[in-house]
Amino acid sequence: MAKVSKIESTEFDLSEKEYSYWGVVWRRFRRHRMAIGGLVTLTFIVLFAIIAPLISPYTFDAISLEDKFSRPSSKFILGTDELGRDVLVRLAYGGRVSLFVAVIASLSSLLVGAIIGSIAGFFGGWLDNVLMRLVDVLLSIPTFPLLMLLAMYFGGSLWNIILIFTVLGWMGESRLIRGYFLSLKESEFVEAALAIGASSRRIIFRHIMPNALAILIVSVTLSVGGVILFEAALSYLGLGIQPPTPSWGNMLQRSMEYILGAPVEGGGPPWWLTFYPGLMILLTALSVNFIGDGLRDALDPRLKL
Amino acid sequence: MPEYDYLVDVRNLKTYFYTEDGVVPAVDRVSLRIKPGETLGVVGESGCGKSVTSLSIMRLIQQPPGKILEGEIFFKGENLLLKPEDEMRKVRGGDIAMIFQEPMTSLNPVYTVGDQVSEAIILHQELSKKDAIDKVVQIFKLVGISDAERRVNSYPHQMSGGMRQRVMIAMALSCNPDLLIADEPTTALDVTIQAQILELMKELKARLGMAIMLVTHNLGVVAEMAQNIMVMYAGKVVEYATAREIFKTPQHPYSYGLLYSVPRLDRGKSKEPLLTIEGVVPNPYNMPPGCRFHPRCKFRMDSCDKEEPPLISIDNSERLVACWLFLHKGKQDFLSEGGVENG
Repeated sequence: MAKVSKIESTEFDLSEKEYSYWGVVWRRFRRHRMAIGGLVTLTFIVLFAIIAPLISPYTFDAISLEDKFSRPSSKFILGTDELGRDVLVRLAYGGRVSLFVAVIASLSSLLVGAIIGSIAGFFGGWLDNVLMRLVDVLLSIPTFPLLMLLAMYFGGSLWNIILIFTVLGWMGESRLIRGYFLSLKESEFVEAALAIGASSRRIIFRHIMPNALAILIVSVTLSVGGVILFEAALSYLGLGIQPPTPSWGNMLQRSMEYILGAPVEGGGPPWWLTFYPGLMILLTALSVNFIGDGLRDALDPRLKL
Repeated sequence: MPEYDYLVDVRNLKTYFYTEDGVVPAVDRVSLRIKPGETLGVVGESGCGKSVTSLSIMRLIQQPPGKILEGEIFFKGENLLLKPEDEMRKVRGGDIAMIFQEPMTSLNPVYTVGDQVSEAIILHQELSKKDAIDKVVQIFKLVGISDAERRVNSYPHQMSGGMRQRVMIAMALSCNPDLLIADEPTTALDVTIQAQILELMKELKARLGMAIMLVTHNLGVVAEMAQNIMVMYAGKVVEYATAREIFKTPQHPYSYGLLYSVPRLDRGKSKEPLLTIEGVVPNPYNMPPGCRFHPRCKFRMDSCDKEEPPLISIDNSERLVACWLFLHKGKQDFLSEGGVENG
């Protein structure tokens, strides 16, 4: 082998600016137009849900029978329902409930899924076998009838709904995480970490989990949309969040009684009762899905800028 | 002077792998010794057990399927195989450090290189994050990473292979280990970078005085670096000698085959084709009886497939060889015989 006279770096620095990992992610995300659109829409929805009840002269449960079925007007911007409650403020308040349920349920099922999946993937063997068979069993039970059964049995309170979604929602994520752990625990950087004396716990949480973070974030955003739709479906069957607390789902469900019924004052059915909650569900589910898509592309480490 | 003569003293190490298809005797009664500050080159074809030997010393063999069945691994006079796992963790990275073959994948893609090297320091020394990063900058300068202050904030994907291998070396050196195990440290790099990295390792060794166990299949690399060379074949040690002796008078037909299957500039213009070792590495599930090399050996004798040759000393020196040829006919001189019926 030839003698090299001097040890010197021959690196050339071609980049003008260095971006942090998240800086790079943001730059990639920004180029995804649909995702940006989704992010803007979702931000508006969240702001609306937070702010509208604070500045509105009405509350979500204030009944005013003489104003029932009011059409959208300057007094009631989005009209009123069968009890004369302001639809706008109920929509905002229902947004708080629906979004809260969706986010908390998604995060908690992710947490359960991540823990079970990482244990199964990292330690393998019989433990992996037991946990994954449990997943198989839970996945082969048809979810919707079980959801209905549990909701009927436990009642549709906010926390019960979250609990039910958590118990039935973690399996997909645990499989995802397990797959990541199975492949990454064999990777050279894990071996290198072992060789500097890192413990199993450190390997799991500091070395492998952050690598799975991208896929976890994407999975959460996608499941948020799913939970909102599921909650709406449950509410539609009268098993979700119980009145008078509004959620987008139960607002939609209540409106069904009237949309096909007799014309209200001013003619025609009270379409605003159906249209606005439906629109909110649609917009929210659509935006989180677009955001999820954008994140999946932005977080993929294999794509270079 | 410490109470041990050898920094590493591996005796009769047996590491087997138990797979569904059968038992693989990856390392079979291997012994080796490394004095403080010495460089030992471990040479052999892929799958001869050289990496498994080094992983066994670190006790990083995955279990199952692997298992260290027998043997002792003395490090500074203490048997590592008897240490509990949490004490072993202090040895890893602290007293024994390792450099891997693939610098491209040996770094975690989600952390900056400074973070990763400082992790090694924080795991073994009580230093704050900031002091650790300062130390990383110093080590980066030591291993020839220019612009070290800025480079600690780079992510692995922002660096070239040679730079990443320097980072890996920095990580290995960060806790002043007594033994550095380098498992094919230059295989994944291109030739000019290989030379740079080897030169760097030589310089660092001269400065820091650690022992190196250099695992490689590249004879050029060991010729540059090692004082002593151990040749392995199919999980066995077949020859042990100083680098000079191995290159001048190889005693095992396999060592001879390895040496003369590589073109060398110092052998002058030769019209003769390069030597090849016929056949392939034996199926590890079904090792040949007797000497494991005999099916490929040009000097095969009757006794070769009957009994395994013992590893014995040549002329009562530290030089060892395991071959019936030597036992029956004494010292060989393969080279002057002109490559023996070449082919």
